[in-house]
Amino acid sequence: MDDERLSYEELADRLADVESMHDAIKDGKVDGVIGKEGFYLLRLKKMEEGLKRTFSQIKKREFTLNTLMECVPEGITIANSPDVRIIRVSRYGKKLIGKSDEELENITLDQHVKKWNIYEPDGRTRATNENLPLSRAVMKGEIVKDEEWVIATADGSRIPILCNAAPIRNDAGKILGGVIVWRDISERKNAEENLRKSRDELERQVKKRTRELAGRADQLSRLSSQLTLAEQTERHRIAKILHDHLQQLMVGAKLNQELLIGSIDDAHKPMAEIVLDLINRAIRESRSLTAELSPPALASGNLSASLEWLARWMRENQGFDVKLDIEAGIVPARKDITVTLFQSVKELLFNVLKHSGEKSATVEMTKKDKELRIIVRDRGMGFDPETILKEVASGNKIGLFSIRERLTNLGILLEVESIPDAGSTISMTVPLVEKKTAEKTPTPVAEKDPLEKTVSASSPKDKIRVLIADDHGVVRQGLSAFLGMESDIEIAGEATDGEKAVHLARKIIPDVILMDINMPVLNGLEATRIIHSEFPEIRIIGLSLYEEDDHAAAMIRSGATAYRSKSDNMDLLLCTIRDTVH
Amino acid sequence: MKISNERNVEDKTVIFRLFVAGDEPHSKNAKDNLRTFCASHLNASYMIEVVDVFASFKTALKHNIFLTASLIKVAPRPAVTLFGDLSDTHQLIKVLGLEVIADGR
Repeated sequence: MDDERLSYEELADRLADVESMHDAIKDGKVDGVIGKEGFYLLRLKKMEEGLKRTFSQIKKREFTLNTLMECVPEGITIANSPDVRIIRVSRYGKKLIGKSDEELENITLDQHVKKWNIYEPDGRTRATNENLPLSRAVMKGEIVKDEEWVIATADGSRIPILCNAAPIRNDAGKILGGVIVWRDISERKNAEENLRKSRDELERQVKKRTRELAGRADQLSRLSSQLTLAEQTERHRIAKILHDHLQQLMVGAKLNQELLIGSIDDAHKPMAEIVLDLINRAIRESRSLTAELSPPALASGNLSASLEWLARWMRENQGFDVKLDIEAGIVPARKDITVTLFQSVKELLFNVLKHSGEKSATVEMTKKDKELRIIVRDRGMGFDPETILKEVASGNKIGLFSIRERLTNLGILLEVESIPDAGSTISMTVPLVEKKTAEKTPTPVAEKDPLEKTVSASSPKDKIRVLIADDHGVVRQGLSAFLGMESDIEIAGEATDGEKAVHLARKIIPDVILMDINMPVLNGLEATRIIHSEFPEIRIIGLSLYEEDDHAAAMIRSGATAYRSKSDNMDLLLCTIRDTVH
Repeated sequence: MKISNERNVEDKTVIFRLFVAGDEPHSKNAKDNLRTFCASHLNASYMIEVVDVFASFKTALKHNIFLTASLIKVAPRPAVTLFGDLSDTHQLIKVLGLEVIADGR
């Protein structure tokens, strides 16, 4: 356009043109404008629509931001880049801290910690501006997740907060600012502390209960042990009563009956022999009951010998074969362990007898790595261990359950393997502490006058001089009467206990001593040993109601020449007396 | 570009110079509306010179034209300038001051 002077008319025309152009533009009927640099397309309507839309979006976003900042119950702080100037803080955040806009907004990074009173998570160490989450987000573009900090409010209280921060970037990725959302976690911290305290209290209670339970278990174990021993003691007491009284009386009756048979006429002998037979049967039944109540080996605590006795007893009384594979001489230090193991094996064998359909079983006992293990095996019909162990107090099936309970109370491990139709293997394992056998020292025998009668220190050589040592008067009387009937036998004396037997032996030096095993003061074994050591020429014949080989063997080891049972026919005793002398 | 009713240019020929921006919407409308007007209402021979500012915007500036579409009635005098898409026929009749057939052919 040339720079020229315009006339009034031309100016009026120009003005009119401008008005027309304005109208055309306003009406949206132009495509574009022409300037010195070129032509510029005008999308006025579109631009206007676009501007309206943009404005609308901006408004909408502003509403959204305002809602966030005013209504959301979170601390929200927005800062600009690069100086991390805080431009806005949410209403909830300001209220929480209790400070005004002036104190919290429009402050740069160097004032953040000071104005906001921010501390490290320990609540005591002052934070540094550069290390704050918002600073890191704005200056380094870091995304901060779940960091704990502490903020001091206007009233001085310190609030733990959980922070999440992120940078605000444009489409090109340039950081325009940052935003941090922070939340008061006092309640959560309190809840955590309460939970920790509850947990500690719970642990303390659990420990206390565990100790109590352990104590109860210990108590139960002790009670179980005491019960086992009490039961065994009672059994032993009853067995002893049977042995010491009833059986001795019956032996006396038997001796007298044999004497009677020898002196009555033939017409009455059959009846007398029937009576004798009845007496013998009574003695046998009573002896069997005694042994069943309290096996002799069990009284000594020798588990190996007890199991050997059990195997013999099962064979002789139940027709049940027990194959033993055991180490000899195992004597656990604890008697309750011995008794419980013995009773458990006995019960297991009876279970095999009653339920497996088999007539035999195997018992193994081994010592290894300070543990004792007993295994009872059979090849019978087997069973389901789970089912059996769950059945309680249902008659016959209580056995395995009660065995497990008793063993558990004493710390003995029970393992059951069984498959229906494929037999069973039941093992019991216990730490083994063996009883130390004390060295036997000779029991001194007091030198004192015997209270029992003696006959003479010497007699004609053709008579066998017999000393009777037995604590039961009926037995002594019976033996004395029976043997006195023999022409070649003379009763040299009687002793009521082992000590007196030793004393009398020293005094009268008999040919033969009939020595009862179970006597008070000094038992027959010890008395035999002493007398044999001093007078090896004296023949000692052991006498007892027990028929077990171990008693006989024990007497022989002590120095006895022979062993006889009191329930044997007396003629056998006579033969033995004569055989030992001649 | 020139449009005419194929008569030789005479002194009574109406000469229009139309400044357009290629085939932009208003420019296209202006071309169409002007042709229609000339064919329907103009009772004289006419010539339309179309100047595309995309090709030569300086020509528009030389004629003090700053918008598209813009129409200058070059002849007969006086010169008259109109802006927009020339859709208002009555305005055209009124402003151009030419002998026209009011209701069109």
